[in-house]
Amino acid sequence: MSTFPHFESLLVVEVSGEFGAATLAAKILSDVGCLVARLEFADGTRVDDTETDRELLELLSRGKHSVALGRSPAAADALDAMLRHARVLLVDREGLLGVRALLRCDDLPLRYPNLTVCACTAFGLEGPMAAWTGGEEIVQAAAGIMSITGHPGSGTTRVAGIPLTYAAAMFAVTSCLADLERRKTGATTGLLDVSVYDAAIAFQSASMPAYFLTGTAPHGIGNRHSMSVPWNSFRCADGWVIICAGNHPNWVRLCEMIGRPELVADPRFATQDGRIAHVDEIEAAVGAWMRDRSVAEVEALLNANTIAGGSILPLHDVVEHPQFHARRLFDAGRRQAGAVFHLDREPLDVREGAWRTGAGTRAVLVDRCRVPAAQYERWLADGAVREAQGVVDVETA
Amino acid sequence: MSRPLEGVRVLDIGISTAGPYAARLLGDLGADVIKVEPLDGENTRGLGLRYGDAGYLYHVNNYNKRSITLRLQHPRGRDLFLELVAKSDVVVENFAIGTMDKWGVGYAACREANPAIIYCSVKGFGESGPWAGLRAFDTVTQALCGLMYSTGKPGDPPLKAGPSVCDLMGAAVSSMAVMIAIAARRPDHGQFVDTALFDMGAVALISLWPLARRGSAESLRSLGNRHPDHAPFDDYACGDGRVMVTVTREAQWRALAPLLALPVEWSRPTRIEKRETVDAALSAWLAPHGAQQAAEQLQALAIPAAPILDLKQVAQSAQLASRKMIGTLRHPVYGDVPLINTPLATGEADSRGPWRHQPVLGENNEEVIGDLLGRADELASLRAEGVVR
Repeated sequence: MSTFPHFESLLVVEVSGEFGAATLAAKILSDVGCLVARLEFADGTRVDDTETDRELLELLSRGKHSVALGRSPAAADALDAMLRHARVLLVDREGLLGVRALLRCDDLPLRYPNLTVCACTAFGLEGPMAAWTGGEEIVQAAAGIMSITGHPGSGTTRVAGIPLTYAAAMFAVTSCLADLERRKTGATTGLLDVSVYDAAIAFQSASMPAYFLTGTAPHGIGNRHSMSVPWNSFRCADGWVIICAGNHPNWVRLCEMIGRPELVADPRFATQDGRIAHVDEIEAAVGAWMRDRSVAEVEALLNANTIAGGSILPLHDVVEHPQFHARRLFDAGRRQAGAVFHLDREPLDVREGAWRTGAGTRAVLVDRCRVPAAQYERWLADGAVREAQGVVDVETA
Repeated sequence: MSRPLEGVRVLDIGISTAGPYAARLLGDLGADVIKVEPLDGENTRGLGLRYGDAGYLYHVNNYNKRSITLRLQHPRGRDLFLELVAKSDVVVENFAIGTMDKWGVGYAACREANPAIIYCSVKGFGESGPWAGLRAFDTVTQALCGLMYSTGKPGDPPLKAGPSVCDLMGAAVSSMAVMIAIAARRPDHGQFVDTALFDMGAVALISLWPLARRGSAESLRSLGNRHPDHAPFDDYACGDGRVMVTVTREAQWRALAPLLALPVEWSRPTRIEKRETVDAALSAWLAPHGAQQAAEQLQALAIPAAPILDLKQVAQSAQLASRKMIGTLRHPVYGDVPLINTPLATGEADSRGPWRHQPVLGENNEEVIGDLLGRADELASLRAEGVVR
């Protein structure tokens, strides 16, 4: 596995009320070796989490030290001790408001000049939607992602999963590490404001120009490509395949594969613009050849002819596929993303077990932040901090 | 104020989106990104909607860079590239596996030229696994990672995301991984960073992993805008459009229920069981409202809701303006080009726009090959031999 000894000296504090970009960013920093203290307030236990919520929380808490605090002035002192030793504070909107309230401080970068403070929120800290609540789907709606996703006539559609939230988390990690680099020159900076909304706008690079150039908003075009033909999903006898054969060499090989080499010489289809103009005829020819063949047969032929394409798999099958395992995206219990990238041919560490709430309180405050033992025991006795032992049992989490 | 990556030099030898956008993100942070293009230019210069003679993707993926032309298949081109590697910190490439080695500029050659080089290989399926050698575009990885299967309305064929999410997540993870490698670098210690669009597509579905682990393939098919574990959770018609409402917390339901004249004590399982009733009541409440007005009214009660906006509405929204995510760059050749700014944060409100315009093809040949490499006296012969344009 890959290690980054450099990061072991970095204390990162995460304060997040919801599963989102801040949680994911902190997980990535934990995976590369940072000591991540996940702050949990003693009164913050949620009673309405689903089984999926609990499993995700367990998964994304792995490798992090759980620090449990109350809301008293003494708890504020404990948080202050952590932030004076930390290099990065990652917060979502709820976490930012919680930290500001507990510390009675609105300007965290001013109070902690050596701390990189990064807010990872849905809509950012500015603008009329700054205070809006909601996750991935709400941002997809408001940022135009749903409007360009969909089959013609089927209406606007959300993209499954959390691609924008995950992207925002990666942008947050990059921004934090860049900020730490800049601080090496003696610079100080303000609060880093990363949002899922900004990630969604950044993801419109192929769609926004249609509006810029025409003044008209583009809409979902199903699985077609606006600049490349043939490029679509096709029904086979037992499922669907995707074919992306828009460039000329792929087009030539595809025509030969479907037994229609004469199409290459057809002047209507000789150029990309010509193929775009005659997309229906081309797709009819490809679709007719696909219809009675199995997905496996078509996929094998695509691979043999080095044509970009493949079957459309459910995640249920993806997670069982040798490719998924070769990339070491699961742990032994088949739960955890073990690697979002590989370094020197090895994935990042796969962490096992999420600490119970408060299981890292002493380690972070006493061992890492050098709070005197007597002071810590007073906080413990007062309920300003709490402790626990062991890891969460995911089956009963 | 200085930019974080000032003094870091990046060679971008990518094409299309994943590699070039990753390199641009490093440029956004102040790195000196040198785009190495074939003599007829990188492919997106000729692709799709254009500003001037260059496709829009070229403009948006390649600002904050310099451009040189170099024919890597020629021995002199290869040697010049490796000389550049010796003067650089990072190489980003996203060609098919084996292509860089075939040209003599793969990781082994780059590391020989510069033992401390950070080499980022961006691939459809990464450098390992049975699919490593497959041809891949964003759409192919969306199909094979499970994303298309779960996107789309019930009863419809599988559906890809409108944006190239695997390409762009691949770019995001690549720039992040390079940033991590830069922060952790040691003298004379090269680092090989391996990223995959497939991995990122699969990771983007992390919220569905528990379902995939416990359930069947059928339970993941074409999820549409609903959520199997929550209600109300869907898009609904308003007087002038549609609004997305996603109630996932009991407190949100307690705020919403009085508006719908439904019992506040209905638990999540009850709401799922009575989904049709809940949806009908919410639809009836929303129908006379405008989408924006309805969303604002629900948000005032801390209920997650948003109008479903098209890109014209997004581009004209106050939220977009306040985020400064769109700007217009006055280009010396292409004129005014509207650009999407960086999603990275620097702590400075006005730092989102480009600090260097997107280069025309080979715009920086003289300053890079001539000045940086000290080969000014060879440029004429390099051009004559077809190594440089």
